[in-house]
Amino acid sequence: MNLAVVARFSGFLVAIVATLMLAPAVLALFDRDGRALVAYTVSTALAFTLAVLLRRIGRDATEEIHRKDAFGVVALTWLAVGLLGGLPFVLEGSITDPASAIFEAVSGFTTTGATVVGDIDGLSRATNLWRCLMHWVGGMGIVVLFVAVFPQLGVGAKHLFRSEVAGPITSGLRPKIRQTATALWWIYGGLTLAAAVLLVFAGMPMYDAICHAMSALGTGGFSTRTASIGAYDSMLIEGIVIVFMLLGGLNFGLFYDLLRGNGRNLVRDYELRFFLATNTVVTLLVAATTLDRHHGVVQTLRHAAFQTVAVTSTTGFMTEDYDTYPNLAKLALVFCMFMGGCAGSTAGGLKASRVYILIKTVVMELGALVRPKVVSSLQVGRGTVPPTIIRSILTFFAAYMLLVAVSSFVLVAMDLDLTSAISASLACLSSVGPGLEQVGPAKNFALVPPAGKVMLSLCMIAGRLEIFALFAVLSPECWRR
Amino acid sequence: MRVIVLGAGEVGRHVARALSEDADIVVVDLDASALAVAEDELDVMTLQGNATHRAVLEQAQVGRADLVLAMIGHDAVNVTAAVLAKSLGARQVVARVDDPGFYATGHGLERDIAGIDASVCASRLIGAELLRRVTSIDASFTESFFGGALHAAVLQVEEESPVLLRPAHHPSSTLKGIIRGASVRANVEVAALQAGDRVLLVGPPERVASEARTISPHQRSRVVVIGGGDVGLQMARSLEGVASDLRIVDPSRARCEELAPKLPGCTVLHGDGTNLPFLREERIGLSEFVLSVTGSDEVNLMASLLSRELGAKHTFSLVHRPGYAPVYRQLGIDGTTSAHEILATTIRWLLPGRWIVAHAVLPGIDWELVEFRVPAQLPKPIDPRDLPLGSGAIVVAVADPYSGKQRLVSSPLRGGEHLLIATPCGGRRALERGLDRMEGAGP
Repeated sequence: MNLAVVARFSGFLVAIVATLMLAPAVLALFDRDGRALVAYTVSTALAFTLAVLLRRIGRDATEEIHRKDAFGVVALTWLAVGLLGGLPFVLEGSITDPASAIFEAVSGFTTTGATVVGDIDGLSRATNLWRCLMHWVGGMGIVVLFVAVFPQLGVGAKHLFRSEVAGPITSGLRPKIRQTATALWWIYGGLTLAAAVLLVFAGMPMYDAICHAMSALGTGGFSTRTASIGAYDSMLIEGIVIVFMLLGGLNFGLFYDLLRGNGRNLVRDYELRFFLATNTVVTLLVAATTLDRHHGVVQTLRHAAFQTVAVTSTTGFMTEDYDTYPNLAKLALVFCMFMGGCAGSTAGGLKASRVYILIKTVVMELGALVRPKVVSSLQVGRGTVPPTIIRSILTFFAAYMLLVAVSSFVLVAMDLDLTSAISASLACLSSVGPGLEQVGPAKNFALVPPAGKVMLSLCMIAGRLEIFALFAVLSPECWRR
Repeated sequence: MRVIVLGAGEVGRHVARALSEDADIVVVDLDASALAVAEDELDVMTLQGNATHRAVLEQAQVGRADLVLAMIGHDAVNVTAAVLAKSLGARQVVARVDDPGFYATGHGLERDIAGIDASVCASRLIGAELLRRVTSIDASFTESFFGGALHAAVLQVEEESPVLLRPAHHPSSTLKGIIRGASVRANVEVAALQAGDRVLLVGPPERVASEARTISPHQRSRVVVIGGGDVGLQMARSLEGVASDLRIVDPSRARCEELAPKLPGCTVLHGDGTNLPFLREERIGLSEFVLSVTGSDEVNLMASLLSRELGAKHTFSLVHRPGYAPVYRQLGIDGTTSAHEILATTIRWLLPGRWIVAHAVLPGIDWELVEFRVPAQLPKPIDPRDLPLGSGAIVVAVADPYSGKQRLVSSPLRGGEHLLIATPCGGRRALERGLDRMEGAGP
């Protein structure tokens, strides 16, 4: 890894985040909120200073980015923006403990949506905008934005792109990676705008609509209200949010195909089918177990569908506290946390296609045990999955489970109860947000000790970067000259 | 511009790299590991599949492609894929066909065979390029134009040169201009060549090479070609008029027996170009040029190094792996050429672009050679003097761009023909504007 190259490109990325931080500053100015204005202006200035410093360190660097450097740039940037994003919370005084501020910011950028703030209604408008803006940028990716706006980086842009947008499917939408990144951002921006407009029509105030649209498409989960979407108590708003959470959880390549007139790909996509089928089954299961809590089937389905999609898309909005649901429904939702959304979406988790291939691999291996002479290939949709991909998915799954285990151990050692510790680790790694019990949807992560918050922040970044990009940087091989 | 490159081998990847800045590229290959290398090195999209399958070509969207390049290692596959791509709606298709027997002319690039817009023959193009390198030993400048069909060279007229005091103009000569003082003069303007004049030769590679030899003659002119494959045969054929003592070496007896009747003016030697006793016995060390053009990089490198060690004056080598060329030069080999480089250059030249297709600055003088195309739609053939060439410019060659067939520079021009002119530097913008206006005026 060439540190000068890493510093140079991280500098650009930090500058992008610094520029975005101007938006809450402008809002604070408009609201005549002195405290917030000072907090966001100072944070922007500091972020720009850091960007300039990084650029100075990397002034002799070449324009060429190798794979190792790309891992370094992405990992360093995600760590840096976590620190920078939390700065205004501390300066404004909305969150006083630095570890909590970092947790909140990382939760924002990784679109986790786990919060340490109990009284969200009491936060300034600037801060709530910043929380949702972090979701929105983090959802599609800071590096993807960089690749889209920065002129010709050649094949280096591809390494950067893939370090941030890991996943089982890596083929681009367009011949050049910059065009792919631009297309993704246009689709993402368009969907966000559509969500905001529809929410305004459904009766949500403009500011809330913009924040929730960004949060929903980024599949984040930060809300401007303590009671999340439940605060509006509107079936129409919930319906719109469900649709856009689902869209955020789908592969954006499919939208691109749809725009190009290839609607057939959408229908044929095995991952989409599997994802929608899982959502339907879990919704019905949750509805069946919670039928006695609501008035009528429609109300039951409304809440069941919202909670299910909020979890499968790893958004983490809520209209009800699912921690009070019967155990069967809770367990179904926990399994959905594992899975998450589709590959190529803004959602986290293992990803639907990986889960689907894992299930098929298990079935195939079982068959091979009984009839070892049969030679079979793993068919998904219209293609086959080569053994190398299966191996990488199995490795990913093992690494994922290992991280959940380690994180749970640490949290239990910090005196969290078992369910809270496991669900908190899982919710952070899959970027869902709320877990169960002590960290349930109606509560928050404030009670986790500072060291636990830092560890969970790392889990969130690991989950967002699909584990390997972050850990590649920790391997000595990456640092060897 | 959308370009589809069929074949992710060394050549396909190199061509894709050469075009990747200006074009959106999709690379198609059957071999997943070759595609993985392409993915890693280039900002292109890849597609795994057989390039002769319609479904694969349709998936690559050949119908919307501006250019399809069939660069696979098999002639038949390239032809099939190119014909198929053309029939599926590709605007322009280029196929690499290495068998010289496929072509009617000798210069390695032909238009419109079986519906393929351009077929390129790597071995012929390499032969021409190596010949240019050989010429460049005597010359202070060499460059290829018209897609490699014509070469330009600048040579000094020495005191003992046999052309001294002769008139510069001769109808069959490739001598097109004389650099005297700070300007280039047309051959008809110079009554007698003087020592210190520099002459500009423009013509087919073999003619330029042999004429260069007469202008600055050498005592010994033994040329040895190591490797009797397609490239070796091409080289030997084009060197027959240039070298006084030409030899070709091949390790296969059967191949030597095939070569002997095809190369009457050449000594065919059956032997191993990397075998030191053999090289000593054949006195390779007395050669002026040794050209190693076998199919193996290792053999070419060893043969060149050994000949050099034995005393050969200049060694040239064919390089198959991109990236090896600088190492060869470091080891003291005078020049290298390779299929991927030559094909990339030729394909760049084929691309539809602005008027000017190639240019090169002449050495030691503020003039340049500019190759440009004449507007395709001309109301009637026009006189070259009616073109917006700028003051002082002289026309050195007029040719059909694809056959490379030259015509008299004074004859009227037809639409789409290419012109090579020598002009003072800085006139290119004015020339392009002038041609824009001509096209704007229309037929």
